[in-house]
Amino acid sequence: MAGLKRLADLRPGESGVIQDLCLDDVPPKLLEMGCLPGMHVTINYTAPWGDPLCLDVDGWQLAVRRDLAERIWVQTDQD
Amino acid sequence: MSDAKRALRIALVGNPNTGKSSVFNRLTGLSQKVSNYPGITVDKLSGLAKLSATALAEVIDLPGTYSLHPNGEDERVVYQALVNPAESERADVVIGIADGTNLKRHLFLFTQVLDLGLPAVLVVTMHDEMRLRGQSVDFEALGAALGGVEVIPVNGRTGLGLDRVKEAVLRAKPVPVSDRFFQPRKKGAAWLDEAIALSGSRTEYAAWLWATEPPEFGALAWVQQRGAASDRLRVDETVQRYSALHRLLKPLLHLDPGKDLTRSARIDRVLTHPLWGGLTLIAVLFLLFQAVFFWAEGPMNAIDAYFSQLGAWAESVLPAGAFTELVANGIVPGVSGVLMFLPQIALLFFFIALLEESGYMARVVFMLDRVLRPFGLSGKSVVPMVSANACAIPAIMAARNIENPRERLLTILVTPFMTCSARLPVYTVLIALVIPKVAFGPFDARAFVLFALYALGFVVALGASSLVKRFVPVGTSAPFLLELPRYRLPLVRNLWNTVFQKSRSFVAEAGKIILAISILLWFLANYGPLSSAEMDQLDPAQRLEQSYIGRIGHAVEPAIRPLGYDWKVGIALLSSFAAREVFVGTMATIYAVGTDDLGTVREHMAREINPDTGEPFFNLAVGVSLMLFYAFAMQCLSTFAVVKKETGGWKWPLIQMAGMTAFAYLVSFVAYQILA
Repeated sequence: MAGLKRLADLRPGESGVIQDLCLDDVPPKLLEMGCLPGMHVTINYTAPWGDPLCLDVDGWQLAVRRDLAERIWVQTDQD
Repeated sequence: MSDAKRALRIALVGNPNTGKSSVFNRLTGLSQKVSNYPGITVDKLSGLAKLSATALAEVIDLPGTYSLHPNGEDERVVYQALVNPAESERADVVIGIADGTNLKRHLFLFTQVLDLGLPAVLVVTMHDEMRLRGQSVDFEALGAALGGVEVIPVNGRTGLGLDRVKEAVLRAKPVPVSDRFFQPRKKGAAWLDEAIALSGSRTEYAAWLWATEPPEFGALAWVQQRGAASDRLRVDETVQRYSALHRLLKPLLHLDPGKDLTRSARIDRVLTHPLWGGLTLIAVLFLLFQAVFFWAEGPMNAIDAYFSQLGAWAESVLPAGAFTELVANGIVPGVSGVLMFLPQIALLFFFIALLEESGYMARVVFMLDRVLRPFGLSGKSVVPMVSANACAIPAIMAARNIENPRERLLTILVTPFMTCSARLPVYTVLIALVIPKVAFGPFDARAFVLFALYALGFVVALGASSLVKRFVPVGTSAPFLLELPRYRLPLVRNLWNTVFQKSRSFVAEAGKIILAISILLWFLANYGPLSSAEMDQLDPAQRLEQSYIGRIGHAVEPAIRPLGYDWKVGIALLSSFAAREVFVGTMATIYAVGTDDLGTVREHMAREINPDTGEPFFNLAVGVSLMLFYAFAMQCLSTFAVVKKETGGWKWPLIQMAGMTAFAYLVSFVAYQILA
C-alpha cells in the first residue's frame, strides 16, 4: 500500500517523496543540501545496527541518523 | 575596482567533495601557504597563480560549504570573505566549483554568490563522470541563463580547461544582480531597507544574509527582534532558490535514462556491510598502522643517527665552552627530537589523506557512528582519533568537522588519550628496559606490550568520554549530515600537498615549543644556585644534584615516591609536561652526566642501581608504572594550547589536564604497589 510513512520506517531499496517538513524538527542545512519537500528519496542501505541510514537524493548519497529520519514523512511509492 | 598595488584576489567557492582542492592545487602549485583568519582558528589556505604573462593573482581556497548561511565557524569564513564590507578584505573575483553530476545543489551555492554582485566564473568538474551517467548540459546556455557567466568544464585530474578559466577570470565582470533566483524584498519588505543601511551592504541579498545570521554568530539576532525567525527565513530562501533552479535546469540538462547511477552504492553494499565492511575496516586500519610503523623506522633511525653525529661533530669543531655545550647537548638533540617524528607523522597524514580523497573515510564515519554514539561521540570523531595516533594537535583541530557541539567537545577532551607518536620513544626505551625479550609462539612479548598500550589508550578514551558526557550539557542538537562522496582514485598531487602542508605546520608548531624546552632544560641542568666556581669543584653527579633542575627534582620526590620514581625520574616527568618525548632526551642528559662513554640512553638507564635494594632501579614495577603514567597524563603544552583555542577558554583544558594527570597518578600508583 502506498501511503504516508516515516522515512525511518522504509527498508533499504524502498523510496518515497518527501512531504512537508516540520521546520522546528529538521535543520535548515538538510534543505540546503537539497532534501526538500517534493524530492524523491531512496534508502540505499544502512550502517550496521540500522543506523545511520544512507539515502539517495537526486543521484548522490546522504547519511542521516535514524532520529532525524523519524521526523521526515514521505509518501511511499511502493504497492 | 581593486587597488592597483594589490594583486587580484580570487576566492574558490564550492561544496565539499567537488574537486575544489584539485583546482586549487593546479592553479597555485607549491606557492601555497597556510595562515590563520584573524581571531579564529580556521586555517586559511592561499597561494599565488599566474593568470597570464603579466597578471599574478592571490587564490584563496575557502572551506567547502553547501550554503552561504553558515553552520559553523569554517563556513562563516566563506560568508565573510565574500560579504566583508572592507574592500581590502573582500574577494575580487569568485571561481565557483560545481560537480556536474549534481548541478542543482551546486548552483544553489553559486547563485547565492551571484546575488552578492561579485564577478564570477563557474567551473564544472566531473564531466567525465557525467558522461558515464548519461548526463549532458549545454554550458553556454547555462552561462546565459545565469545572467552571463562564463561556464567552463575543467578536468581536475589533467588540468584541461584551466587556461580558459584563467582568461575568464581576467575579464570577469559583475553579473547584474537579478531577482530570478530569490527575492529578498518579498520576504523582508518590513526590514530590508533598514538592514541595507545598518550593514552597509551593496546588494539586497548581502543585507539579507547579514540580517539572517544565526544568533550564535552575530551579536545581532537582529531580525528576530522584528518577529521573524532566521531559520524560517533561511528555509524560505532555500525553497524558492531550489524551485527557480529546477525550472532553470530542466531545459538545459539532458538525461540518458537507463544508465547505471549506482556504482558507488553497489561498492558500498560490500564496504558498509555489517560483516564484510567490518572486516575491511579492521584490515585497513591494521595495514595503516603496520605501514606507519614499519616504513617510518628506517628514516627515523637515519635522522637519529644523523643528529647524534652532528652533535658530536659540533662538539669537536666548535671551541669548548658553554655555547658549544648548548649547541651540542641542548639545541641539536632538541631539533632531532622534533624531526624524529616527522616520518611517522607524514606517513599517517598520507594515509588519512588517501582515505579521505578516495571517499572511504566517509564510510568509516558512517559505519562507526552508531558504535561511538553511546560514548557520547560521533562517527566523525574517528578522524581526530585516528590522527591522534600521530599527534593530538592536528587531531583536535580536525574535530571541527563535528557539527554537534557536545560530541565535538567530548572528542577534544578524550583525543589526547590516544597514543601519539611522542609517547612511542618513551615506550620503546622503557619496554626494552623492563620487558624481557621472550616470544610466545608468533607473539613477541615486547610487541604485545606495545600493542596493549595502544589499545589501552583507545579504551580509556572511550571510557573517559562516557564518564565526562554526564557532566556536559546536551545543548542544541546539531544534526549529523554526511555526504558519502563517490569513490575516486586519489590524485597524487592532492595527497602530496596535504602531507607537505600538515608536516610543515607540525614542525613549525611543535618544533618551537620543544626546542625552547630543550634549551631551558639544558640551562637548568647546568646551572644552579651555587656560584660557577663552586659548581666546578663538584663531580658531575653532584653537580646535577646541585643544579636548579636537581633541586626541583628533589622537591617533587616525596610526591612521586609512591609511584616508584626518584628525583631523576621526577626531572624527566616535569620536563615532559612540555612535551612527552623530552623524556628520552632528559634521561639521556641526566644519565649521561658522570659517564664519559657514549652509550645509548637505555644502557645508561639499565646501569642505574636503586641504592635501597642494590638492584637495578628500572625494574618491572617502575617501568610499568612509568609507561602507564605516560599513557594517561596530559603532558603536552602544545595540546593544552590548542584545546584552549578550540574550546575558547581556560575551563576545559584545565579540567582536562587535571583529570588526566590525576587518573595517571592513580593508575600508576596502583600498578606500582601491586607489582613491587
